Amino acid sequence: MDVLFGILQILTVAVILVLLYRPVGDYMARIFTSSTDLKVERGFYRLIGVDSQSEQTWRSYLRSVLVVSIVGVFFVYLLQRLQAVLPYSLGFPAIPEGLSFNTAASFVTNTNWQSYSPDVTMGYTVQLAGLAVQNFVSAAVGIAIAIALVRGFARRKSGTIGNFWVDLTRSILRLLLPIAFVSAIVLIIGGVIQNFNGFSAITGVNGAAQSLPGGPTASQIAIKMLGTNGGGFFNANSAHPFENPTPWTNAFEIVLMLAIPFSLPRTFGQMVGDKRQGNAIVAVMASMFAVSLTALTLFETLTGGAATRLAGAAMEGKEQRFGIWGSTLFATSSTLTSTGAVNSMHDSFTPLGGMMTMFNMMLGEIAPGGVGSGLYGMLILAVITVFIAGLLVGRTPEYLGKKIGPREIKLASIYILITPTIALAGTALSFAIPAVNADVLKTSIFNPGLHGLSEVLYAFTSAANNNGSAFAGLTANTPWFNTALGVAMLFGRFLPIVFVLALAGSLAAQDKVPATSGTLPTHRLQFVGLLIGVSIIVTALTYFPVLALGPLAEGLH
Amino acid sequence: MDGGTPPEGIYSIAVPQWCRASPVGARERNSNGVPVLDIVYVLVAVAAFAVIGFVAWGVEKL
Repeated sequence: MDVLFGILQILTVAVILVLLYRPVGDYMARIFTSSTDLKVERGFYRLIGVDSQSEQTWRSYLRSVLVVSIVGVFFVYLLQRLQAVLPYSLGFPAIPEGLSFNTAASFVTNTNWQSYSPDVTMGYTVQLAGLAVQNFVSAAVGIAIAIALVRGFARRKSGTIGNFWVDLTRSILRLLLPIAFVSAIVLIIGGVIQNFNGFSAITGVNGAAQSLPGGPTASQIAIKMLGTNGGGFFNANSAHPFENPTPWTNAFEIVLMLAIPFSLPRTFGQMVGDKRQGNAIVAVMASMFAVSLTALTLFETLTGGAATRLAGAAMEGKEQRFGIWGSTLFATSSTLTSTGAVNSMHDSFTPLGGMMTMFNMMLGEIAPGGVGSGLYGMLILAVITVFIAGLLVGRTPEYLGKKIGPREIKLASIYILITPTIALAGTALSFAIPAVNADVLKTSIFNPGLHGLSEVLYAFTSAANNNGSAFAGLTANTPWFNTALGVAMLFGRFLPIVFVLALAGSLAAQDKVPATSGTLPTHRLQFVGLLIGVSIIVTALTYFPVLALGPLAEGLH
Repeated sequence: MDGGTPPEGIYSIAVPQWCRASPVGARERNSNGVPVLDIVYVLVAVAAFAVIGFVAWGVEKL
């Protein structure tokens, strides 16, 4: 029965995503190719002094991205530090310095890593004016970067890649805000709470007094999932019944997570004038997703110790109302996008199951990835793939009529190296610096040994890839983790963006070369297979040694 | 909002009660007991964005 229900749930989600692919993808293409502004947009452009008809070079576009993000980091930091004197703070004190920095970096980078229990730490002003605003802005930044790269492929001999302020504004006003608004209402109908009640004293069925937190949850959860943010209103995230009460809200939240990332390839196909290219990219994403989901579900049902086998599945850390299938589908969706929300505790997964969630992030979150970041990550891998294919058969590499020369391949290669470097260096430093090592072992690691390494590796992998999920056994609210993970999140977000925009500028400046008999077709099954192979091999080669020391060793123990 | 406040038990575990009087709360301390100041994290953020800016400048040389 569980299996039947699980398969039906997966099929339902898949059918909805297939139905959304064309309309949502085409709608996004229209948003970013339209030459007309809405009245409210014109007012906003006047307010910030932007000419919506002007275009930016990649450098100017990057400067705008960084300005928005720097302002965001300092604003969210300040809000948290002043929480005690802000209205609607529920009597909570100011957030400490390290945690404020970590949280500011986390929400501005779309990571939404939370080293705190939100329902007993953050008042409503910080939640709404700080964190929820960044949920919209950080998601819109990701979409804008992806669209800029797509313009790089689509344009000929152009010195510009669009206008960041226009892309940002349209992403928020025409896409994220309307869908989030409707989704919040659907979630309220499903039982997600939405109030400003603070804490309510109740008496439980056993007669014990309890204090239940309330709050504007549905409005936050809608954008948390839609923008692949993942930061919960409650500590238990989407395992909490106030955030995700029923199996159907669970499926709805999964659809919200995947809708934009899986539809963006259609937008890409539309904008480059060849829908088959978008179909090839989405085929790669869907194939990798299916394999990952299958592996995780098998690991959670068939592996583990004697207790797991006697119970029929690894149910520790999972909600009865979602079961194995509802948990593995959510976990796969969350770690293959940059969401990081959880409806089950990844730290309680079987060792190999936990490894799958980690491997999903290590892939660079490209299948389908975060809103925008998934598409640009996959397009970078496509550039690497045509280069490798060119080397194999002696063809000059080109993708969508753009020559992949030395500059392009250098930019793409460095992009690929950045995230693993941050994740592995952060993990290594946590153990290599004597003072830090002592603190990590004494304070942070709950399960020493192989699993302890996995906990730290997971944290830095999550931060560097801007995912935000965690192995909850790690106590990360310490000066070292708050600082190191905060820096990892900033570098993991903005260093790759530098190279994506530089690549967009480089491609946009080129003319298109006509396809010849020597051109590798990039819309066929052969390229789909090649791109999947390159993605997995690049990740496996990079991370295999550390996976062997952590989850693999634990799983085979 | 009806003015409901967090339960004292949960709240007092994380932060000492006397912190409530201060708009910025208790001074965080690292493992050696040295207080960490706001300026430290402001400088960390500035340094991180400076590195990103430096890399962006260097990309032109590729």
